Amino acid sequence: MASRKKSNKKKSRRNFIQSGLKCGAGALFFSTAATSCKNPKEKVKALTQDGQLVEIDKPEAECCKPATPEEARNGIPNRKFVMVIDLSRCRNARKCIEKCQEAHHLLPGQEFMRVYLMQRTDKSAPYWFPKPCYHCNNPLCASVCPVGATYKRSDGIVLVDNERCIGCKFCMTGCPYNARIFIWEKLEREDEEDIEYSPETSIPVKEGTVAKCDFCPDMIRKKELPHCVTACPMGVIYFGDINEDSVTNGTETVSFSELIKENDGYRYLEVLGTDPSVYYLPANDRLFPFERGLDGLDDEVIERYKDTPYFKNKRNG
Amino acid sequence: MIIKLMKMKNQIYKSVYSLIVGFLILSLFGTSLSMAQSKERTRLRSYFYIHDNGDREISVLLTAGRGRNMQNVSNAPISMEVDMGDSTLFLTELITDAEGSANLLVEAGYTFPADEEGITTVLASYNGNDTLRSASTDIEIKDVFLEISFDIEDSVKILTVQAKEFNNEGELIPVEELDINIGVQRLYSILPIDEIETDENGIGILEFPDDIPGDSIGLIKILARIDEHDYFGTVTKTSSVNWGIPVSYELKRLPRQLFTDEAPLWMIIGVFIALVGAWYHFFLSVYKLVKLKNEG
Amino acid sequence: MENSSDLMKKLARNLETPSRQWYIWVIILSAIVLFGVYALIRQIQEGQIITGMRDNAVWGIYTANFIFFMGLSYAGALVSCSFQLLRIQWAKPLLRMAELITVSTLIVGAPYILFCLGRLDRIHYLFMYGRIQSPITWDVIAISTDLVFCAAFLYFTHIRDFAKLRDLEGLKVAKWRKKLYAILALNYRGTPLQKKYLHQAHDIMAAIIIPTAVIAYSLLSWLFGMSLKPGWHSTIFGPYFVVTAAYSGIALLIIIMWLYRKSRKLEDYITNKHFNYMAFGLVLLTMAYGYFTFSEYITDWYNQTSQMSALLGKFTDMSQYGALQSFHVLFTMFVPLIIIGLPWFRSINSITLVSLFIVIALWVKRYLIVVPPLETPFIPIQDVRPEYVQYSMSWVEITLTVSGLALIVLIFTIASKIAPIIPVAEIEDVEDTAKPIIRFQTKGV
Ligand code: SF4
Ligand code: SF4
Repeated sequence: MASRKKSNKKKSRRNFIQSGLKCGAGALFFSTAATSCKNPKEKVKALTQDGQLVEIDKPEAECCKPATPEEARNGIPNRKFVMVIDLSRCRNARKCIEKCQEAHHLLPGQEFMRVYLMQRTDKSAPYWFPKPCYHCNNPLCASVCPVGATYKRSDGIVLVDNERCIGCKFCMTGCPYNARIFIWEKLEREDEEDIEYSPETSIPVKEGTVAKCDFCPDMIRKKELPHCVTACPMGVIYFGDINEDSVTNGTETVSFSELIKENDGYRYLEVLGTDPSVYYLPANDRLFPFERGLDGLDDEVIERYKDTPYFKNKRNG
Repeated sequence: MIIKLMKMKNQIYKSVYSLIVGFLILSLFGTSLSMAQSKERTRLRSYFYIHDNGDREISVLLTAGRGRNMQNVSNAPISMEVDMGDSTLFLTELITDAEGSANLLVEAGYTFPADEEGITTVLASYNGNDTLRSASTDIEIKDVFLEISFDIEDSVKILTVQAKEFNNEGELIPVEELDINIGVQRLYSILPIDEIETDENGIGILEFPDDIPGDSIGLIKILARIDEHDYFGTVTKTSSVNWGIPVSYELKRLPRQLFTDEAPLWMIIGVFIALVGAWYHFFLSVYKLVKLKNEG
Repeated sequence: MENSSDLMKKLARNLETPSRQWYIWVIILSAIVLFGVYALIRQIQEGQIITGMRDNAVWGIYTANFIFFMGLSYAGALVSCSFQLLRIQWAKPLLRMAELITVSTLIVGAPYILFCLGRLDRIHYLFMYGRIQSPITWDVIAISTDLVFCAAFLYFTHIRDFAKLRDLEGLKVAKWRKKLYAILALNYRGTPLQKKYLHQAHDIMAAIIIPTAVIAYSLLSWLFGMSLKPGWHSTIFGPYFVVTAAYSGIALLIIIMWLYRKSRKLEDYITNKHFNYMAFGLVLLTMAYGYFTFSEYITDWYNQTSQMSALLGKFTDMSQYGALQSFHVLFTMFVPLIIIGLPWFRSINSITLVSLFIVIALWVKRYLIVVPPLETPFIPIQDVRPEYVQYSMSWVEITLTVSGLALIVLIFTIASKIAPIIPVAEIEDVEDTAKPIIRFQTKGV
């Protein structure tokens, strides 16, 4: 029985990869379409029906408008976002972290996404565990905020309005997953001067307030995936709309419910009742040996894992 | 037996080894050659798309360098021509954009000169400059027409896709043995449903699954797509139908949700009563003091 | 006891032109407070980076101070109001001290929660965007209510003494102060009707402050209890905090009694009997506190969830919080029982010394409530920056703590220059107030 289950699973994974290849061209096509967002004035040549050559504007996508404060509070209509993280593929490449930090103007120590070295029990093999904000459907952080600076939107995203946050840090003690960071220091960046703040972008970073993973709603509005999803070279992170029952990691698109069902997806600390929007696929059948995740890391990062039970046991032989 | 096997293994290793070494030497040589010339290799790739509305798009991508150092070349002139056998027909010159690609949109209805099978060969070429070598590519293109229709038989949803092309008499004839992917348009991408193959009538049939969520009235956008066909290119045809499960966008209230803007009623009432009770007594005692003062 | 007018005369001498030492003392205290103001300004300028707080341990000794001082304050309110309501005659000389504890610690304690705020400039958002669901909002409401009530009560109990001071012949104080006394005394002449009104005002305030204090301190405990953090998420926290508060408040009251008795030569009014009774109360509270502490830890110790085991492990590990925890357990439970509970070592001085240790140990307990659970989250901390792994207080936080203490002492010093520290009128008017106000009658035969 068990073995059958396994083989089933293998098959389904292979299927996904195949379908991923199939979608490759599509992805390319869509990405060229999306570039029009950046350069709306661009022209393309067109050959008309009667053989005339004309230049036309590349169609300007209406997605380029930044969200109004109202929209940033209410969310994208009729959507409900989920994320699935496939632990069997993660090899601690840390590209998600880097891209996220770059996009959100964070300093090296400030991580919205963190990768933990975890072990289910001390006998099981360790695995890499990327942890964003879970955008809980029952977010304690939003419940305890005295001023409504942290809020949950209709699309499931939990955001922080850094222009309203009073920095009481109550949400940080409320979040059981330590998903939030505090901006302890004032740092002025030159390139931030004419960026208008929006809770959807979380930039410019505001000192004395709280920040966290925001699922990149600004990217979603442009019909683009969150930065961590596109940055991951392993395709670990899937993102999508649960109303459509579909998630994608940029190359393959799969049915969310099937993915979770067939791979025994779970949520971290389900018992707490926070009802996260982020699911994990267990690290069975992993694509890489866990040690690969230690290759090429900064010493600082390797140091972080030195106090985990895994390394402690290793040191003690 | 075992020894023989081992030997064979050794031999295999050896030959693989020499292959690798040879390849390394070759590639070293290659790079030094190009260094001497100091002209970067370029590569031109072309793609053909047929859009939903029948518009066709020829897209070319110009890159320079190889492997990790490959870069997209922008602002490069690409000349587009139709191959007419012994001569060529100049179409236009495109300029690559920031991503190194250039697109030629061909409206539905415009017909290219074609060979007897109805296939047009389009040549794209880049002439190179002081630092870049020239490159060219050709792509065969042909029109294909997809038609999606929906039927429900015995409450089974049947999706039918018919593929047609022109023959050399200008008549539409079915296309056989064509692989067509069926998918549903989702926020970011297409959720693949299945793959079908057309029969001798150019028809492919799919039993459409029941568990695909649609919008609030169950509408879904279904795509039929031919992927990177030799001359049809990537063909997309979409059609909407209310075969999805209607999704309710209404936010369901959790029984004890506290994260929204509205506090539970009991809490408001409780705080109100507590505050009124406390402050009533406070003002009562202040009132007593006022009386006291007036007494004196 | 002496004749009352003599009493006022005697005590009023303390109110007259202050001595040189008094000024020096006030200057020293003010300097410490000013240094605290400087530290606060630095913190506002440079941001929270100059505190020891970091992600993980996002709260530190500010929060510990906050619950500590608020606890003292609520205890003062509970003690003074229940003594007032129950007409406990022997406790009369202690009432004003208890009320002063209430108001001074409240004034000093409440701002500590503000020091934790990253954006003090947005403090008004609490009212603009306030959400009733947030325990912080509950606290803001409860604390501000409490502050008004307690300050009012403090004033109410002063009225008759102000009247006496106004009427006192030959009081050598500045003119403006005499005027002030006259205004504050509200034309009180001691007519029967005025007495009645005053008693009513007193009793109403006292009766409403007791539940306010209990509710406010429970709400404060729920800042922690409402979270999911192991070590905070505890149903016992409300009552536990209230008992802890009463415990620390009585201990502080004993210390202050001792200080005034020594410095003001009040041996005749703050007598052995007072120490005796208060010590008895302290022993009772020691046992209550021990009971609560035991039940808090035993439940977590017994079922051993991994998260709580990790936390309890830190409490027993001497290289982590073991030393602090032992100090706390020793001085809040064992030492008081032995030194005060058993008759052999019990003396005014030993009681006071033990009280001092109790107060310190209860501050330590608050620290242990706030910091270690923050350092023991569900998801293990994997970080190399030591300040992110373990909290250690910075000079700013220490400065602000010390100057908070200095401010309390300063308030006491100045307040006891305004009116006598012993409520003269209360002692004088024993007969008038002897009638308990609580009327609780069951109908029938
Ligand atoms: S993970 Fe934490 S911060 Fe994110 S929504 Fe849940 S409780 Fe809030
Ligand atoms: S720190 Fe900011 S977001 Fe968090 S609870 Fe306080 S005000 Fe709300």
